[in-house]
Amino acid sequence: MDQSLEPVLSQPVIQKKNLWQRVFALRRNLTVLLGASILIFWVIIAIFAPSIVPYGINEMASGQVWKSPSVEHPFGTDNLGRDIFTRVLIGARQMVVLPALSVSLAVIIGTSIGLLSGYRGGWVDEIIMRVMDAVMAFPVLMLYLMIIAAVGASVVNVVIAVAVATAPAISRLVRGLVLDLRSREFVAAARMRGEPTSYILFREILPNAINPIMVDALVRIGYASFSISALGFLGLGVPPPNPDWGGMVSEARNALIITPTAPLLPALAIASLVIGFNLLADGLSEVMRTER
Amino acid sequence: MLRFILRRFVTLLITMLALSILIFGLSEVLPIEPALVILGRESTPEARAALSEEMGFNRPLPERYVNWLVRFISGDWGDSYRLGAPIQPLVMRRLLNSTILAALALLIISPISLFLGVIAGLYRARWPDRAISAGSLLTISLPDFVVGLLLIIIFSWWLKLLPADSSLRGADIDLAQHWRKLILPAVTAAFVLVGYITRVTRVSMIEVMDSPYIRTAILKGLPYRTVIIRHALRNALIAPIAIITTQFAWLVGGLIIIEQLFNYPGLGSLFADAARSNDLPMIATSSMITVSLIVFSQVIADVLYGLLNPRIRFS
Repeated sequence: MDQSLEPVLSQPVIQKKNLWQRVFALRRNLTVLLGASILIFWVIIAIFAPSIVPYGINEMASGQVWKSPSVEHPFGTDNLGRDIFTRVLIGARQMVVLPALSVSLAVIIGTSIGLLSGYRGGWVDEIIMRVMDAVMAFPVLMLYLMIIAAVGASVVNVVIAVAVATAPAISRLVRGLVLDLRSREFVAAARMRGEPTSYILFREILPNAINPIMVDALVRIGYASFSISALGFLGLGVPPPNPDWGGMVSEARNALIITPTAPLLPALAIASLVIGFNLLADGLSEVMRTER
Repeated sequence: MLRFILRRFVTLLITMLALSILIFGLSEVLPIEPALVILGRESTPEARAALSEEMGFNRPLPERYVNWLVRFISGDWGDSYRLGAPIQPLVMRRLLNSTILAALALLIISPISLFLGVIAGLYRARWPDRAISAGSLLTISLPDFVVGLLLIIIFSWWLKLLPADSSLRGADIDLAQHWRKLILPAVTAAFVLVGYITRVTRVSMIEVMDSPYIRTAILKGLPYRTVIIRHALRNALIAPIAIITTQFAWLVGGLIIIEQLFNYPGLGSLFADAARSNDLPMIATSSMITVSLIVFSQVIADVLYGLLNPRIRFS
């Protein structure tokens, strides 16, 4: 009895801060700050890349194949004599947009399934969750490869593949949150008021589940940017001529003996992006834990 | 306990059935005309139609699924479209290669991550915990091909200690002869997982140290060392050990990128090649094998968890 009351009683009465104040307060958390800075850096690069880059993405300098970094080519050149600096910067554009896009899609699909499954319960829940389990038994990359092999490699298909492979885990999370929330008093109150199911799901349950869903989504955007570059690395990602970081790494892999910077620099770009998302997500969930 | 194990194996069968339908369904959706892949683009439409008929592609869907499943279970996995050779010996050889690599990786991971996790859990929120937690976050965040690339650059290109290429040139794997080629891929795989298992161990250790029976043991006046070794570790290591079991199968199937990066002939690179060249039977078989391994190891992990955990064992 005492134990169940403890968290409620020990909770200090705090004034509700508005969204901007809360975001601004995050600057004191070092992890959040570091993660956000990395991401903001890449977003700025992505926006201004076309006006910064010194060459065209497919501009080939003759006789300049696999050159090490120099004044003319700060990151060196690739197998066709293209400027790697230019290609890394332009490549940032799709890496900033595509992972976020595919995870947004996955959140919409996964949340809908999770809400339905958790709220309806019974055999609907049982069937949906067994199917999700089956999909989640696949190693993620294997699932991507099968989907991409089925529908072909294109920008849209890569986004769809990542969304389909990501949605089951999100639906699981949402279902768990719904199971917890649906037994609360405010849901029972809404039901007794005679509110329709859609109102209860989207106005009562969803707003209370949104924070964990968002933090989880951040981690998943990090995974998605890794997955998209992994697909590129395996030659099944976004097709040329768009420069793709993963594809650049695999093209330059065998030129490593001539110029190790050629595969290394795009690889580090991928790593920094994934680390940025993970730091931000880790910091945010820490803040949420202490806030509560 | 026996009933618990039995029940897990029944759900295992159901999951496997669902997965086989999923894989069969996916390979049905693929817009690939098998006869075209086998006979090539110069073949006549009549020849392709005849081959389709002969291979039974015009039969109704459920019948084809049952035939496929029966053949798969009886070990008759057919021929690869791309290589024109039987799939089974090839898959088995690749499976062995991947298993050896995964086992080596786990041999590196287990002691390191269990040790670091326990230390981090014991020194919660103090500097050893902060250092270990930050380190494990970093290793989790680094994509495997980035880690592999860095290792190649350091150990092959710069120090010239280990080979950057792990291809076996068609030979069967022989540890005495090939061990140098296995080190870099195994360390890469280990690096990616070490952080995850360290984190699990840390959380498990913290939970156990907060539990009433540990408080009792300490208040009873037992030496701290005894409390940790005799009481805490036994329970804290149950969850991580069960998770390591599941990770073994994940490694076998999840090595796609690492095998590709090092040109190592494993199951993962076989699957990637099959996906790139629309080799349907190869895609279906290698994914079935991988997924079976994963589901099976999850059951093993559950049973292991039950055996190690007295609360489940006696209920």
